[in-house]
Amino acid sequence: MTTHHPPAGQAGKSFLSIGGLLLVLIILVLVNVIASRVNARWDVTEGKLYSLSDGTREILSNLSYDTAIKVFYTRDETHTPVHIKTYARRLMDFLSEYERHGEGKLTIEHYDPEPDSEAEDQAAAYGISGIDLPTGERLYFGLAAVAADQEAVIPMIDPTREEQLEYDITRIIARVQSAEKPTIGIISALPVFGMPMMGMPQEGGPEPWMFVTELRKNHEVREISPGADSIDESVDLLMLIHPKGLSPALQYAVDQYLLRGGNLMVFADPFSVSEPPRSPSKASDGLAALFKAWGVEMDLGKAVVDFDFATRLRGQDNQVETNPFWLSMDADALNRDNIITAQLESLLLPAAGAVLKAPDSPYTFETLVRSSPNAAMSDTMMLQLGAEDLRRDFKAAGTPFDLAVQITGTFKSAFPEGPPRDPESGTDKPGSDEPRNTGNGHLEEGQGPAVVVLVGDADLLFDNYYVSHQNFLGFKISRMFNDNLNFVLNSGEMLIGSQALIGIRSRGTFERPFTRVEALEKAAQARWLVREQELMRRIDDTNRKLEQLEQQKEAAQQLILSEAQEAEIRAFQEERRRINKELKTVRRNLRADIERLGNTVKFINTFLMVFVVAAAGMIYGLRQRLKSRR
Amino acid sequence: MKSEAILTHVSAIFKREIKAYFGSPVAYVFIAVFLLLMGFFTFHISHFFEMGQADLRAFFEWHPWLYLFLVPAAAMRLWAEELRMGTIELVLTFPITTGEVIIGKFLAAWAFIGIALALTFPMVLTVTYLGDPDPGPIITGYIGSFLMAGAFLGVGSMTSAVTRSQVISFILAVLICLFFILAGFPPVTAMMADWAPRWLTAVVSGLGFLSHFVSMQRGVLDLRDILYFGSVICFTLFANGIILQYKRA
Repeated sequence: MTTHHPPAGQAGKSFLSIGGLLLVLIILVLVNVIASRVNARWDVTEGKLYSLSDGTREILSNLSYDTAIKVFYTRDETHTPVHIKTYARRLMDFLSEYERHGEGKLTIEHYDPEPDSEAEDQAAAYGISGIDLPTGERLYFGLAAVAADQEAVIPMIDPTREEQLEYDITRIIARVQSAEKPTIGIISALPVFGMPMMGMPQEGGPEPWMFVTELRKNHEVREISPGADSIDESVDLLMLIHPKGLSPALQYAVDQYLLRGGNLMVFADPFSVSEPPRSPSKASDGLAALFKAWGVEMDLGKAVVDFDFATRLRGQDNQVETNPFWLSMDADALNRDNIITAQLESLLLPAAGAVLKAPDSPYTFETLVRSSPNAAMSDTMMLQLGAEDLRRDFKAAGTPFDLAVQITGTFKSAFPEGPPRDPESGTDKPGSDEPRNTGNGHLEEGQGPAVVVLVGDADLLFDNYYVSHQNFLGFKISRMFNDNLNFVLNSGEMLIGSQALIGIRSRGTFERPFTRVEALEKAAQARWLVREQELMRRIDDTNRKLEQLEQQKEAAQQLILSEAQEAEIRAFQEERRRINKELKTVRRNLRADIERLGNTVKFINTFLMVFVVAAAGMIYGLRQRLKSRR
Repeated sequence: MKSEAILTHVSAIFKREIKAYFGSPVAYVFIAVFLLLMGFFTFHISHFFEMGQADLRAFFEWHPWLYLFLVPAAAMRLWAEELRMGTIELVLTFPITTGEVIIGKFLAAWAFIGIALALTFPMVLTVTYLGDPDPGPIITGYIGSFLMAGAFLGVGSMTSAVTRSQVISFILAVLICLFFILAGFPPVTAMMADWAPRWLTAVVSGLGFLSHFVSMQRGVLDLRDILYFGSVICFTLFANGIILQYKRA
């Protein structure tokens, strides 16, 4: 059977023309244009590094103003440290994702602040000053978000904060979208705004606690008295610190504030060690109804005793002991996936309570700080006793307790019946039921999701537990010794941002170092360190002996040095030269294994395959020749 | 039945061409040069080892620039040789269509470059030995590089049909490919952004090979990038067919 084929090309001849080519071009362009509207993208990196979280995408799609991200980065390739170079490249890649999602409203601008350039002036204008490299050059690596008349700056992009990169960038983009400074309202039973001295003018009194001063740098901080009966609409974040004796009206106001979508930070303490003396009770109270509505069970008569996170303290009898009521939390106790705690290293919680989720709670609880399993709940009365007494009766619960949690959900009112009745007025006013349920904008259920960060301790806010002040030549120097303040600032910053900002997770890192090289470096150090130390010791000895000999020589200048002495000096000088040489070799050896590995790797990748291919070619050629001879 | 016939024809051409490639010493020289330059650029210019990062970015970033010269070199003989020797008439009188010949030749050349690319596998072994690389970006990097090589090859195949001189074909292909590289080259787009309206910069950079290769290097596969390279290949091969058609007329 034969098949008849048309002469080549004839079938398609009418199509194969300039017109056809144009048609193909138009079709292909159209296909590409249509596809550009489809978001079919697969991020196959391990930590989904190039996928912005939903929160960021939401913020980017709702930008109120055209926003520019101005990146100031010194491109001088020779002196910039390698890790900064790599990180800068990744940052640019990552920012291009922002540009992609910004739908034209967000642009990325690059500036290279060379010395005496316009870009350098601009960087300075944004407060981006750069750092001096050991080589004398100045390295700029910062960025500014600019929208309308607002600007927010990250003066130095810190590669160690890589996991927070998205949060940091999105936060400043969100910040420049509004002109107002956010307001924080604080209700506190502790004198966080400073305690006015008796009979003294207010300004003479002790200063506010440090966290208030820090919050005031970026926010308007407003005091709300525990006796107040309402919360101003303009409050963006409400902090309840050791809440005690809140009026029912204020409790209701807090409840409604949360239902309107406001976020809360609550520091409830079973035993406040920083509360002024003579207080009848040291425990927070007055939140029972609200806790119930939030699905929280918290026994404020008990504190967590944790022997794994115990703190060394000077006891009443002036003896140093490890006290398990005072919790020194380290990184293991902190949630690495939550933006608030991801970067923190340590917290100090003096007598903290445990936050439990009620079995029927419909809300999402995310642990921020957690005790070790070697912990138990203990009556706060036991605080008076020493660690020895505690240890005697201690029985570990075996499961950790949550000491701080983030509760998210669309909350229901703790006052389903409406505003509480005014106890002052005594009996019900006629017809008072009506406005309670329908009037005054009473909400029974939240208008949207809200977040409560609930911490089982309020003392962590007191200066003494995170900062030491020193007076140095008339200057007050403050030194932070843990992350208590950062915890509060992080929480505040996150809760004040939009809901979208809260959803941004701590992300994976781009960093993938050569683990083998690192291991070699460590091994070489271990191997050569002893030798290096020994050589250093010997060179010190030799130097000392030489010095002694030189002194003898001076003292006995008139005397002619014996030949033996001269020889001794020469021998020591020789010895010193030899040790120095050996020391150099040792230091070179530190890198030798790595250099050898580098050379091997370079050789294999540059030449080995080339040899193989060339050999294959030659064998093939020879075989062909042999074949043709035959 | 018809598609089966097309497949048979294309694979016949493919086999004939692949054999021709490896039957000549040029192929081995080509691959050896490719591997040598790749290793040299990655290790001695980009300082892959000294950067200490277990990924292949320093390796992939050289691919477009190497392809710029090597792919047109591999493609220049595709048609020019046939035109010069006059064998083109012979080929086109076979009972197969021009399209089938074009596709067969193209696939053979593409496979040849694919083999050269595959022989860079010691890089993958190296990076796995040295650290703990993320496999995703390595796979997508190779996919992207192979697709980009296809686009370069399409251009080379097209210019090879234009002239019977391999040198002219080579130069033409290099010039066109250079345009495609520069269009997406960050310094060029940055320069354009200074004077051109934003949409024009976007259009030009969208035409560039680099802007479509970059996200694949990072480990992101985007349908648009794949379609783009596919479109360039389709268009250049179609143009290839038209050029041959006019040559015959």
